[in-house]
Amino acid sequence: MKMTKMMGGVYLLLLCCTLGSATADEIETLYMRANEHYQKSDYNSAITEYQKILNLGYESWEVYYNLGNCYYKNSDIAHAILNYERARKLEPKNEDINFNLELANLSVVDRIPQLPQFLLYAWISALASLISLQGLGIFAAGFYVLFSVTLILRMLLRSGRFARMANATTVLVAAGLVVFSGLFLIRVYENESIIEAIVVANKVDVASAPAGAGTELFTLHEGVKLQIQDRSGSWLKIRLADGKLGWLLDDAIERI
Amino acid sequence: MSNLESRIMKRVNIAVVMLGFIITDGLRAQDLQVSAYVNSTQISLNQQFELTVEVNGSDANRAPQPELPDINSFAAFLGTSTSVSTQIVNTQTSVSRIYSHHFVATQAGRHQIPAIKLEVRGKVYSTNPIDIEVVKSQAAPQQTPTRPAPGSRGNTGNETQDLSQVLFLRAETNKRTVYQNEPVIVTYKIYTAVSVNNYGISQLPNMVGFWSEEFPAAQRPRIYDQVINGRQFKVAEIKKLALFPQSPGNKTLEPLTVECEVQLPRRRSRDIFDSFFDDSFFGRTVRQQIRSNAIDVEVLPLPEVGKPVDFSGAVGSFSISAIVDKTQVQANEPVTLKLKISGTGNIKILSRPKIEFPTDFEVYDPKVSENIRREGDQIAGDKTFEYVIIPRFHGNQIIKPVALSYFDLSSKTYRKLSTDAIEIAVSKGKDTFTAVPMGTSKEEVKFIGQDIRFIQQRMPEFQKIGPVFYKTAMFFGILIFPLFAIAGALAYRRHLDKLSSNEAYARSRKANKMALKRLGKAQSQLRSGNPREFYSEVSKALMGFIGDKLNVPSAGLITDEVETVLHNRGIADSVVAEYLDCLKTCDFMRFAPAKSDNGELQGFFDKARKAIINLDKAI
Repeated sequence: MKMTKMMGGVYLLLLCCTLGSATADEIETLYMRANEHYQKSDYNSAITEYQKILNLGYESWEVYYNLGNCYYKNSDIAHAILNYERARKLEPKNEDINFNLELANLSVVDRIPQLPQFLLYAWISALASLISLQGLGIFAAGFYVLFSVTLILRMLLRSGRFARMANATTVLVAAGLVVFSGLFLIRVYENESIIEAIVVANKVDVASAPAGAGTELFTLHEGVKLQIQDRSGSWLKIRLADGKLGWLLDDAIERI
Repeated sequence: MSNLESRIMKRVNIAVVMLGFIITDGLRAQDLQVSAYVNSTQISLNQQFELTVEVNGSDANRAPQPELPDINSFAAFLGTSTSVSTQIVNTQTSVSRIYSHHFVATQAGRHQIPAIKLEVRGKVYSTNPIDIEVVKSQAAPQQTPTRPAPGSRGNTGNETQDLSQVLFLRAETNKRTVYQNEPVIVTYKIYTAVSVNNYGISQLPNMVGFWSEEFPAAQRPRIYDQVINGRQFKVAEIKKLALFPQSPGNKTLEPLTVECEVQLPRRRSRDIFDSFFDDSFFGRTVRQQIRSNAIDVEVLPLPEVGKPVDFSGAVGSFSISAIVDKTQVQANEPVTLKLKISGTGNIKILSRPKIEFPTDFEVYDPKVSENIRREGDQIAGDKTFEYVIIPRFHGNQIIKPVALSYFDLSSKTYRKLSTDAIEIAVSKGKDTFTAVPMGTSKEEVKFIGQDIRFIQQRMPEFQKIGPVFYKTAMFFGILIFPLFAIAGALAYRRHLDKLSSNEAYARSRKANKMALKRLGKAQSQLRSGNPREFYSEVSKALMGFIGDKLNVPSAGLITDEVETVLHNRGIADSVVAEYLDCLKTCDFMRFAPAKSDNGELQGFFDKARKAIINLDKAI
């Protein structure tokens, strides 16, 4: 009885392993096939293949970037921008992503001027977005662990060469920890508080109040980036880069 | 080679285009011309004249309407009509706005229309002043007037008396009571029983407060016979006007003055010389001024009852239509919308109806054209507003119906007309990049004709899509684990500190170790079969343990002292008793040698160890 249970467990484990390697192969072939479709200008097929990778639960900035290219070639500017933004979230300083995103944004009908930010905050935010969120997390956690180690060494070694070295490194590591954890917390805050989305509907009217109670304030077109601030039923309160506020139906936009 | 050359050429072209862009951008601020002119610099009194102010340039749309010059001293203002024409060449818009101010001259003499100033974006544009001369009478009759005969001078008075009976001018109207903006048709007729060779209008009536439209005069006035008071007159219509009163109230239309050249029938003369001169071929000719009657017109205000909100002064009978030249276009392709109002009434001063264009449309000011027919007793025609609209975005766009409200004169009620809604299907432009909306900055223009970068082909590192890493258990583990490590290290450090600084603590910490060591020794004595040594070692272990734990020298300890010390520390009696029992057994067995088997010794060993453990727990 016990034996059979154990055997079952082993089988299950094996099954998991094989499944894991099978999906890895599957994803790689999907990715390669999608790229081939793209090169043959068969953008719709490429989109389905890339989308399959995402549906399997795997992502990478390259997949989003390539998807963005497909949509761009299909003249679906909104989804192109959406995917470039997703890619940029994973890989903020990639030149290719930023170039294509800028190009795609040229086709957006609405020109929304950016409100000037508080200068110091803008600098820090720009500094924080130099590295991806995950990279920052790794740095911050690394410095945290390093700081702990030096602290422990300091406690255990009272005197001698090693103790003095530990003291010096503790100061250095503490400085690194402050900087990186600060940037990391800013990014985490931004990531949690700022929910961005792209208008995917051709055209959406933004009203002054939810549920059709308000008057029409302005009209947005596909590709516009906005922030979601609140929700009331199926209506979302949005904020544009120029500070304009309004309500729109949630099916008109898609989150980045 | 040629390929490279063409590429370079392309670059240069782009650079040139950009340069052009910058230059025109810089010029734009000055690209505005304002000019003013009149249709005639010499006009007769009470004649209408037109002062035109033209604003040209791409900024013309932003320019305010120029102010009217102050010429009240010699002219009265009648009204203004505005027209706009827009030209788009290579996305450069040039607009010209034309303001036509209509005046009527009220004072003879030489006058000057002062310069008209226009301020646009802080810059003042000014026109040249215009000199204008208002003369008393209009041009003389078309034929050269015959010189009055020298001898006829004396008789002129008498003859004038006579002539007023046979030659007079009448002004007739179709109605005396009209609504505001309803036309009054005024006809001036010469009634004559003598032969009139020629005539000329010498003074036009003052028509302040009316918008006048003149019916075209026939080359040769229609002449017909009419019998008045038994005398046959020839009647000639010389002038026909349609007057649109601009404000309600009682108005008086001043008389019209006409100068006629009358041929008097031959008559006998006293003088042979006279008769010689007078009896030329046609007899005598006399110049005679005749004045028409004044006309009083009562102008009623338009009824307030049922007046539509959007009513803008159209009176008459109209129809409206709106057509676009195409209903299926690509984004950024211009569409022409023609809004046509036709009918009878005050078409010329109709303002443009409001059109609600979809917000996606770029709309330019319309080109206005009118076609007025002055036929019969009616002023009819049509006015066309031609809009150029550019849909900037794809999708189905609807231009809402355009409404026109007017006062219908036949039913004396307000009527509302509206066109059909126009639907325009806008498809996506062929090339997204040429579709750069107007007003893009120079940086953006650089991108025209560029393509996106190619896809990434290297195999990426795929990651499982899941919750953000900083929300996973592993991340929290990484955060928490060092805290435990630090806490552990801290405790260990304090322990080390206590060991080095506190002898009692150090001894107490060592007590167990020492006791175990001695018990170990005791066990080896047990194995080697030395019961005395065994008991001695157990006793040392027991006493040493107490000494170490309580930090007292163990050498001086006796069993009684141990008991009191342990009692003072508040240790349970049973534990103390067990411990003391062991000690006593040791003392007894050390000095009273008795044979004892290994089993007994082993039992005692266990008992002693247990006593130590129990005491250790209790302390």
